[in-house]
Amino acid sequence: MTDEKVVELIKSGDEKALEFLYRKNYRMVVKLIMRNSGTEDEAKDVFQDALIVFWEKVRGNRLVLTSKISTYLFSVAQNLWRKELDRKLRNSGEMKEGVSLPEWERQEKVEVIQKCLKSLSETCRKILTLYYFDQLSMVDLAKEMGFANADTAKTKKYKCKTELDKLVKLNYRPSDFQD
Amino acid sequence: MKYTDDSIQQQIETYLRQDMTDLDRSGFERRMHDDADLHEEVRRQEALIGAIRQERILALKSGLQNVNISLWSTGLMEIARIAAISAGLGIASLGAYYYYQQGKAPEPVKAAQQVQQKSVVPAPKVQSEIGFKKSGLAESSVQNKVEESHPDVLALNPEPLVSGSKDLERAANTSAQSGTSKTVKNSFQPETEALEPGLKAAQPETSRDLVQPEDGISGMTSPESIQPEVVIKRDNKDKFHYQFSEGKLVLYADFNEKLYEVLELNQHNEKRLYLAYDGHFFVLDPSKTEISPLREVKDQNLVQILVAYQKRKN
Repeated sequence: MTDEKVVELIKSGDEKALEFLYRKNYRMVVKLIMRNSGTEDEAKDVFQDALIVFWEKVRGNRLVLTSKISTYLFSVAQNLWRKELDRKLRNSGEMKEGVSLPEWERQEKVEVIQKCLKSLSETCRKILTLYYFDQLSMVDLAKEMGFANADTAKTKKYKCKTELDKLVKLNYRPSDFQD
Repeated sequence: MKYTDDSIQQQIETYLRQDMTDLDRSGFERRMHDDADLHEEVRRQEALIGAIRQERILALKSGLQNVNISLWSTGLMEIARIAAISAGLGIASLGAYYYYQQGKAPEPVKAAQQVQQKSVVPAPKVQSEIGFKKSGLAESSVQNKVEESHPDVLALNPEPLVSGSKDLERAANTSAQSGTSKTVKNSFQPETEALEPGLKAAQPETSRDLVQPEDGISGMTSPESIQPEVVIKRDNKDKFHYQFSEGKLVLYADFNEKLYEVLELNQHNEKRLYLAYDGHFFVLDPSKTEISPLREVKDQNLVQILVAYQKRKN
């Protein structure tokens, strides 16, 4: 499969392209991470993150490829792993000083919102995902969802978002989102 | 909530998507700083969008997690692949080695057989003939042996001599093995000066340089040679014994692992036989027609002579 074909498939939302890239470049990224103090599990995680960055960029039309996809993925994985190593270093320092931010609190909020998301209809979940994650424009969102036009997509998205807001407000106090 | 209207929500989304210009962004952040409700609403929206994104990321990752990565891509299988390649190369090398051996071995084996045939000194039929008496048969065989002399081959233990491996040995059919008994004609016999007349003039000089044992045995050998056939019997009961029987020297021992050699020394015109094995020397008395234990030579002078003689001969 050529790089052009992969990009084309991702633009159309075909996850098979992601699986193809994963298989093709897995060994290269695992080698990179494992040679730099990482484990294979960490390598998997980093590589999946790199693929997701690539997916988002292609889907949101925010990527101009000037190299092969494999080179791009390698570079993203390298940066992500560098950040992860920095994070580990910082965390080990924070642990010593006893000033760690309770990660579980943030994770708890996310989990509650995700429960609310699951209460939404399948269509709403898809609309919100395509808009907020894939960052599709209203025109593209309308195309992908089979709506008449961008205005319809905008209205639909607004309704779904309002519904989610209500569900979240039922489960959270305003102070839960204060810094 | 005063920030639920669409225009404010739109601004918050634009801010969170980082689509604002620098000017709009700094203005919006100043507003957030002054307005706690706006700040709270932005954080809430940020958490919502974050959760939507995270759910999608988890779904994509879950899909990737189920992708069956070929085992050949993993480090483990890389090691397995290297091992497989090494094993393949090993097998190929082994094959090449055996091919080479099969191509090469028959020639020396054939040569050894020829040497055996031509250099054999037939054993005297009468027991007394073993007793170091010159015989016509012995002379003619000496001549044959001189003509066909293959010192390297003759000095070795027949088993490793005949072939490098047991398989080849079988393939070449160079030795007649049956049960635990093996008869090897004189191919392993030590070469004495008697068998190599050309050396006779020089060797006595060397022999005189040797330390003389107290019993007066000289390192010299006479032209007359005892050439008994040797029979090896791997008999556990009489292990490391010997006997002279029907003109043959019968050794009850397993010489598979180390070389052995029969040395022939002259003492006052009388020949004596010694078995050299594993750095030790043993007396071979031709009068022993009964199975007798191999007695080690303890006389250090004699041992020195035998060592020197063995070195010179080989």
